[in-house]
Amino acid sequence: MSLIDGLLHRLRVLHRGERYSEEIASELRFHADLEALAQRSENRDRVAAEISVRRAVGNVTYYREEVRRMTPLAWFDGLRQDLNYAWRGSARAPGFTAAAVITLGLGIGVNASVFSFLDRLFVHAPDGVVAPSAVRRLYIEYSRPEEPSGRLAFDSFSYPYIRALTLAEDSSVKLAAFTSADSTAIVDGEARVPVRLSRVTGGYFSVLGVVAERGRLFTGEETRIESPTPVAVISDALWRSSFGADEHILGRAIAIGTRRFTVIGIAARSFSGIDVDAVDVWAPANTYEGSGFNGLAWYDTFQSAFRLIARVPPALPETKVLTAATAAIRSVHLTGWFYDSTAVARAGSILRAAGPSKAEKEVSISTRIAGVALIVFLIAVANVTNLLLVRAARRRREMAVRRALGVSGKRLYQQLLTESVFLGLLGGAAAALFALWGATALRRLLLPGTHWATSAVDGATLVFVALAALAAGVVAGLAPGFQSTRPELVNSLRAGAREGSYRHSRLRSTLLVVQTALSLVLMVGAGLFVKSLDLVRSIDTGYDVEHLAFVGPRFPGARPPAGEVVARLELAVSRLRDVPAIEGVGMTSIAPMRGASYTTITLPDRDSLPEFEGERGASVSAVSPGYFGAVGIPVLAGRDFGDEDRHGGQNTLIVSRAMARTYWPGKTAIGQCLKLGKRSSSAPCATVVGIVGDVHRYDVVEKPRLQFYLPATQADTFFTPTVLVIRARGANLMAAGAIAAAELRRAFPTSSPAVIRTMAQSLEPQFRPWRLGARLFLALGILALVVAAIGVYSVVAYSVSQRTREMGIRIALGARTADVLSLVVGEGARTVAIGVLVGVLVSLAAGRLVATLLYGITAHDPAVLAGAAVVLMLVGMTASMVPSVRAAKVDPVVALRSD
Amino acid sequence: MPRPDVASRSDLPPGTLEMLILRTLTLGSLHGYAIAQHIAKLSDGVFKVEQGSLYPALERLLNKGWATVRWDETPTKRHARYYSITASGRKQLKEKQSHYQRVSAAIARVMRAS
Repeated sequence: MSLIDGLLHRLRVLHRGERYSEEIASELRFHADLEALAQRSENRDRVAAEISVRRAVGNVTYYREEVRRMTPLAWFDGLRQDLNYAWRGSARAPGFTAAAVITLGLGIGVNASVFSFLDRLFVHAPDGVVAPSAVRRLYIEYSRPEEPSGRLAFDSFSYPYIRALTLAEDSSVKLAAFTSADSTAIVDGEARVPVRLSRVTGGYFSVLGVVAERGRLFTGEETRIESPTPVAVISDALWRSSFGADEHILGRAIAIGTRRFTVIGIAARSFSGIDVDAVDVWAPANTYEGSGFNGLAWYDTFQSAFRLIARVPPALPETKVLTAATAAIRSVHLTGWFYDSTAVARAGSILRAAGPSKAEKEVSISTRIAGVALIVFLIAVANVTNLLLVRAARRRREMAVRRALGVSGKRLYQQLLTESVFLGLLGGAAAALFALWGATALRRLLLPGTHWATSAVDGATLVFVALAALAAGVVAGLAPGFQSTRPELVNSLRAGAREGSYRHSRLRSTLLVVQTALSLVLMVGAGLFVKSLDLVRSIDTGYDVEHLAFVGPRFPGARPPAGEVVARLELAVSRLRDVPAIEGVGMTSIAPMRGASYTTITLPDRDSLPEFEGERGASVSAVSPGYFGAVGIPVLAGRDFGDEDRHGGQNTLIVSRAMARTYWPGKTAIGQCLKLGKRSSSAPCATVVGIVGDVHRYDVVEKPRLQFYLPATQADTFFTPTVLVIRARGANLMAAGAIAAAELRRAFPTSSPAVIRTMAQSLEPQFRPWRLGARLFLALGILALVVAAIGVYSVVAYSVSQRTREMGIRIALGARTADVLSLVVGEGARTVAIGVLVGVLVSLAAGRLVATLLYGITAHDPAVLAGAAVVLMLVGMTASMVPSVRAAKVDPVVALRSD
Repeated sequence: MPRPDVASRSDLPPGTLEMLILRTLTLGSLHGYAIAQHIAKLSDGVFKVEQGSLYPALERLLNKGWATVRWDETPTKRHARYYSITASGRKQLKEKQSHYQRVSAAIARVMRAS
């Protein structure tokens, strides 16, 4: 109780502030008045009475200060004094202040940027959602022994699953599906506005608890999957930015793609979907643009891709929901073309990144970058601590004088801490500025395609910056404050003490070792990523990547019949063969590494297909004669397709080398038979006529895959070749592509202008994760290196300045320049060497944290470790060289006279 | 004029003034001047409590939660800050009192013995 009463009193005092001080003054005056009254009435000697009255009244100001010292206001008075002192001190040493503020600003700013990124991905619930923790994302998880976790979860569902899940679940479980934001454009009269569209099932808004700000959301008939209803709900942000907050927006017709939609509502302000990728327009799922397959409507096929969310009532255990969901998923599996007995339903947070699905490489990298940022922060704090220690040592005499004048150690410590916290907060302000740029840059770098709903630096980030700045200020100030308030410092008041008092500071050296070690860890990280990137870049995908471009005709309406397409393409190909800028040209049903097609195949003499690298079956594409030569795949045995492989002739195919070895081990594949279709089908054998080199199917980094090729000229509609592959002669790939595109316009006069894509372009995104890792690690590593170099320099420079007299004596006694140099550089180098050693050990221990993000090298790569060590040693030597040269130039006469 | 034997602040053992104030407040709500007068009167003018020690001591009691304060009107229609003892203040007073009695009895025994 007493604690609370006391606390309440203090709070009241703080709240009233100066007014409380006034209250005390009036209380004291009241006391003095009564006192004077008493004196006058009781004292007959008027003079004596007046004297005691004056005595009583005159001291009110003094008493007032005495009382004030008891109140919490006194603490603020002290703080004000200290801040004033800190401000003047900082202004007096601009170099020191700048070094400390910039170091902290970068250290904290980098962390704030990463914090803002990770907070949005993993912590910050999407705005506008009611009770977001009760909304769960659903996943299908399969057993995948080759994954590190042994399991792989997907959040992509086609409509048959959604229907089965809705039927299977208890009616209290509300379920909804939505597609991830899709870039498209709406046409409103003349204006064309790029937007992000999401198609949602009827329950979407109610599951999330989102209401309409204006108008209404999708209801009843509009949500029936069978009948497309062209209505749309738009976001408040879009309404304001693109429609000028038009009051008459409801009922307006806008065009999305080829359909016209009526705007029926505006979603609650701040709501922009639940993914980090912001949504501007929602349309009912029944407007999904799927064409259907084999006479089935799109919602009965597996071609759609929805994400699923559910709001589970608190009373219902999640396990029950998931058991029902698993059963529903398996029932769909049994009817579909895909069956996996290990499939189970899983639920995860409303935040996709926090769920069970495999993190994108960019997200994995961002979590490693968080660790790196923390290291940069530690280095920055260590550096500022070191700067403060050096400064404290310089101010030893000042502190001793103040102690001698009666300032208590506690008060002095408080003052020094105020100084370092003041520096920390200045650093925090710099960090906030840095984060404004850094957080946005990080977003653009890591997830460039994402349209973020929120600004990069929000309240949470600023709170983070403030706390980090405070922590940095306190931590950096603890040790220096302790050192300079130790009572033995009174010794330093003695004359001449400055020169004699130089000692090795173990703390300073330790901090330097820590900085060096951490910088080394970052350099090693950078080295590993740079080398990985190099190795990934040198992977041979089997294609002549640098010289390839793809061009395909685009048909605004229906595609012409397959036979006609092939005939016209063949004509274009034969014309292009004669173009000097084009070295090779071919047709294919699917551009290399842009996707894959599959069809059922059987071996007549085997019950099942042999397994290869965990996979049965092979992907297929239809290619024209000359395709292999054009893309750079060698024909290893047999022949390329030719004019003889026509419709009506013998069915032929060409297999990859790995396929030939796997399907017909020990014999030659040429002349063997592979049946397209099920065992029971009446399809004739296709004869293998050639074996070609292996190529990658999708990814630059992938396991070897089996592939086979059908002749384009024999292909059915499913494998109609629609893409021309151009191999340019010389460097001018785009020019060759343009010639091909022009030729396509001639062949298909009604087609839209063809898009030219180079192979290098289409592979580029695959190098991104490695390049990102290399860039971020390198940038932060160099930052750390610079900070560590400043640290080494400042410590060595200080030690040199303190040892001027010693150097003078040495030189006077005959020490040569080289002797002095090696003495001072040796000292710095020793510390750096210990740091490098510690850093190597830490790198070895921490290696497994990045191992999964590397390619082709282990985290313990000796060359990288050695390289980083050498770089750091060189930087350390250079940093201590500068002050050493100064030491060697000491004039003994001047040095001995100083002080 | 001969000054009465007045004890200065340093003559009081630490904590004694607080004890005296708390004891005085058990009589009821009082303003600072009344507290000082009461202590001076009961001690026959030995303890003349000056403002410079009285009010910081009162502020300490407030900070510790042993007393509370409010503005009120005096019988002469002036405004003054009235201090009251709290429950925890009473508890504190009891402890201080028993401690004081033990110590003074011990001192008395030692002085008698010699």
